Amino acid sequence: MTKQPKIKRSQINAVIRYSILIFIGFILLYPILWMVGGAFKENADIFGNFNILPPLDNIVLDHFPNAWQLSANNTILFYYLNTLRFLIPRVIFTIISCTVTAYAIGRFNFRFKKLFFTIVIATLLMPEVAFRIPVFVIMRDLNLLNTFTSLWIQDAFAVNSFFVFMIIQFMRTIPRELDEAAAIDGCNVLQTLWYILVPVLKPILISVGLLTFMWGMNDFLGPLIYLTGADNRPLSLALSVLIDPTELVQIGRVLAAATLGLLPTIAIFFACSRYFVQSITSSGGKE
Amino acid sequence: MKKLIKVLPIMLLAGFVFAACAAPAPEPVVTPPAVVEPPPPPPVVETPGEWTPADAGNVTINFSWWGVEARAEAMEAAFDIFMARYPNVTIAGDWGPFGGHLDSLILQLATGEEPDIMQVNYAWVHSLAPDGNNVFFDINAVSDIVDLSEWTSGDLSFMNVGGELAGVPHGMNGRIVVYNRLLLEEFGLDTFPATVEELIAFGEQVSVGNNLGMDLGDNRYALANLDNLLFDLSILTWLYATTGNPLQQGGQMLHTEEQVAAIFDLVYELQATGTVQNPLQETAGFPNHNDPVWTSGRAGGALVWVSDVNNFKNTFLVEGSDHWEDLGVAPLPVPAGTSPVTMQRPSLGHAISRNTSHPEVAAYLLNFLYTDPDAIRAIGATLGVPFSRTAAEITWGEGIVSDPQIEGMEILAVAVGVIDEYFEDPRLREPRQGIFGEFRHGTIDSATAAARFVNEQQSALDTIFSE
Amino acid sequence: MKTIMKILRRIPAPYLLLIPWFIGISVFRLFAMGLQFYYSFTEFHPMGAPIFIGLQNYIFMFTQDPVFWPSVRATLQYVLVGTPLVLIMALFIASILNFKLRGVNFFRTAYYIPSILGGNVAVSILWRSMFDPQGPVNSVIVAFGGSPINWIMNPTFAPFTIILLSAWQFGSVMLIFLAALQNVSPSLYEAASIDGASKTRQLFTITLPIITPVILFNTMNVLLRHFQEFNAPFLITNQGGPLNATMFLNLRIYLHAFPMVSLGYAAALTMVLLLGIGSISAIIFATQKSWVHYND
Repeated sequence: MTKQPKIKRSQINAVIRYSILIFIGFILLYPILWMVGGAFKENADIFGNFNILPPLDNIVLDHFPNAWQLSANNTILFYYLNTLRFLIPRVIFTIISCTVTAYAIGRFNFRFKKLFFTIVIATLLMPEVAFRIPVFVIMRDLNLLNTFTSLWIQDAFAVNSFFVFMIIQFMRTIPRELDEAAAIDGCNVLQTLWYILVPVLKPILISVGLLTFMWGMNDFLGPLIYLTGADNRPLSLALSVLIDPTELVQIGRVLAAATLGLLPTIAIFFACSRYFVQSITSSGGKE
Repeated sequence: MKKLIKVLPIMLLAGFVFAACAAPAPEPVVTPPAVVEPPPPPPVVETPGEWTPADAGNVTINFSWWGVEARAEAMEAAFDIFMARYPNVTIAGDWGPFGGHLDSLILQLATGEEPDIMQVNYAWVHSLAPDGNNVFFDINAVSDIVDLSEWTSGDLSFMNVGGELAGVPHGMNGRIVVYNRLLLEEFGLDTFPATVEELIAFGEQVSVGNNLGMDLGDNRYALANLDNLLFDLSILTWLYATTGNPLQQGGQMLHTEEQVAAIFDLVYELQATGTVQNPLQETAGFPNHNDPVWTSGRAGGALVWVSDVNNFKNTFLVEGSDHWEDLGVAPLPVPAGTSPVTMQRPSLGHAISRNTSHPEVAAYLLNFLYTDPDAIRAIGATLGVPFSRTAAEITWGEGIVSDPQIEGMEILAVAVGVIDEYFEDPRLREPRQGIFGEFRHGTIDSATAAARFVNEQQSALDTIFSE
Repeated sequence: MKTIMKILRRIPAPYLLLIPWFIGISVFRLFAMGLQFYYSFTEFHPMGAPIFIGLQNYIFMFTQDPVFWPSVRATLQYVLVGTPLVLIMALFIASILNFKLRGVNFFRTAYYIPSILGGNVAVSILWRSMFDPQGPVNSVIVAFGGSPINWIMNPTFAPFTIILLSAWQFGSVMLIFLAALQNVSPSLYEAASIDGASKTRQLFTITLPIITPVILFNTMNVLLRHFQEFNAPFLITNQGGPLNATMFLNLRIYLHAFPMVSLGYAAALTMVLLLGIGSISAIIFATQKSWVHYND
């Protein structure tokens, strides 16, 4: 007798939970769905209602081809490629430099180990804004302005303490005996890293790469400051022009361009969502 | 042709006034442009000497401008003609909307990465010059390639920075009202009000039933797009109309707080009566020819650069349709009892980069755009109405300057006030924009706004002139 | 060549491996920080060289700059409203997801997507259309009998348009909370249930204290993100409008540094922003002893 209402209550609880989850999920995904739907609508159908789907008798198919030709001279592909021209080096150099740094601090015993680790922790919470102006001046004096190099050169020097810290934490779970065994087998320091640690670290390194990639896709301020030439314009700058409907009357085309702009991020997210969830939880859960 | 003859003398007169205001000591050499001169020399381009870009080897010239699509198409067409003649030269164009153009130009100049040729605003060549030293290439150094006799010395003096010629100017520009006859007729008017008081009387009727909190697509106004930026120019105009003085002279503010406060009271009236949009009713973004208030015919008029009139004509009611018969042009209304005035300045010009590796080719291209008949025809009126000799002859003579622009130019020519070169300087403009914002949102009254206006402008002027 | 190799051999391996990091930290962090401090006392055109002018930037900032206080106010409003909102939402959703429900993975993914897209320029474009006076958000409000809101042009609502964008991106914060909640041993709850503690009581007496280190971590991350918000006020509300209601300091720094060509003044503003971040962090860390529980 006492058990029956309890089961009922848990069922009601489940229904409530699911309702909340579905409701919130819908609200969260609505903007994205509305954007994709809007890319097939005329202006008159975009405003004044909250429908996601375009009216069936008035589906506009021109917006995507028009948005693909993002500017008079270039298709959106040109801007994608420009973004990749700083993003790929950034991802690669971030992974390499952060791994090497984490390896040195995490796996060796030396005199300043404690101090160096403290520096990593101390710079963990350093806001990027603290360095923006001086780094701009350094880049200017190095003649790197308006080059893609200016957008990845820092990452080649392991300045992202967050990732260094993340990899150090992950390394702690790998038994030290493995390194020692490798050394006995005649591996040098780098060989140990490459053959023993990197295979185990692979998931966290992929996570580092993915996060760097995603943040880079969203980077607007960096290109705004460093890339001034028309040939170098990346996707974020090319898209930002659309927000002022100066040259555009068709909001549908703007939404189509926004959809195309988010496509790489969404595609990579679904291809690697496994690593994403892992990267986020491992970055915070270990604290 | 009749219109042309009517307009030309007025333009000449205007030219005199400009020369007198802007240049400290201009040589009084104002040769009458057009008409008298024989047609341009034979179409062989190589007027200035034997050197041509064909001798330069393979070069790429980067060229940047702001503007709408029509301008871009016209510029590319002109480049194609040039590149067909000199296949060794590639011209890489880069363009975008006006908003943000100056920001990126500043960064480009700061880093020495600017394009070889830039479309520049008249005010920029002055405000970008730190310590009054020109940051662009001195066109005088290539005067053997760029035929400077195309311009009057008064016109050229607009681009004179620290004794150097920072660029060549294209033509005159000012904002006029393009009005919507359909809405005016609904309220029994056959032309746009000439005074601010009449405008307000019209506005009180037209705005009945407006939503004051935001524009949901059915508000109506007597005059659209008067946001902080356009109020800036309107206030300048009204100050000039009531006092006869420009904003400043030699670094001194010329207006008293009382004079400025009177104008702020006028702005208050305009807004409180619903004649113009209040800040909450504005459309997010730059109010251009795509502003829905204008395109849907909900405004009695819009304040528009003469060079931009065609764009407003094209977007009125239906995109791409020609509704010229429903539109007209008029000067900005002025306070009752004052005479009409249209503030104006050179629309834009072209400057060459100091860092260019090919100054001769760039200069040659510049000269080509201003003197080659094919290039002038290709560009048409997309840059506005030119005042350099050959370009003016061709555009006026061949009917390239079409109706709304002709009438617009007539308005410019009638009552002239000069926008001085510091008016658009960000160091002066930004404080003004801040004051307008606060005043229009109702957080300060007209006396406070006027006091801040005078004081903050004066201290910004002091900074600029102490350099 | 050989001698170089010999010297290199003598340096212990960790020091060799740390050379890139050492350069990075000293040039792009420590040296840069010194420069940043110095520049705040200079007049510095991006084309030119810094000229020392003493405290003038700071004096101008506190006595004359009409936009300084509005932008401090806007920044603080955004940080102090936005940060708790994101944290509470993330914790709430995480606690709902922390039950054995079918399809949890699906929801987890769906909730996470906005947080990887949120900073993208494309989303700013989207947000501007969504919050148009006639956009879908107002259409929903009207459908439920409300009156439409002027989201972007009204100084009262414009900051909330951006706060909502930030709240929309709560996904990554939520996942970190979820991971922490899943680490709480079920035996603790069982014990509490036997003692007769209600679910709400369990939340406050067991769950929250255990995850306080994660709350601290998330708070710091969200704070830092909010203090440095740039894209949204730059793009959605026309560079800090209306009436400077979204003129966040980070945006103001950019506007002074580049469009207004004054790196020195921008550096001085940066010092103020850093001071703000530093003091709020210091308060949090000073109080952490009383509320953060480390059990290992």
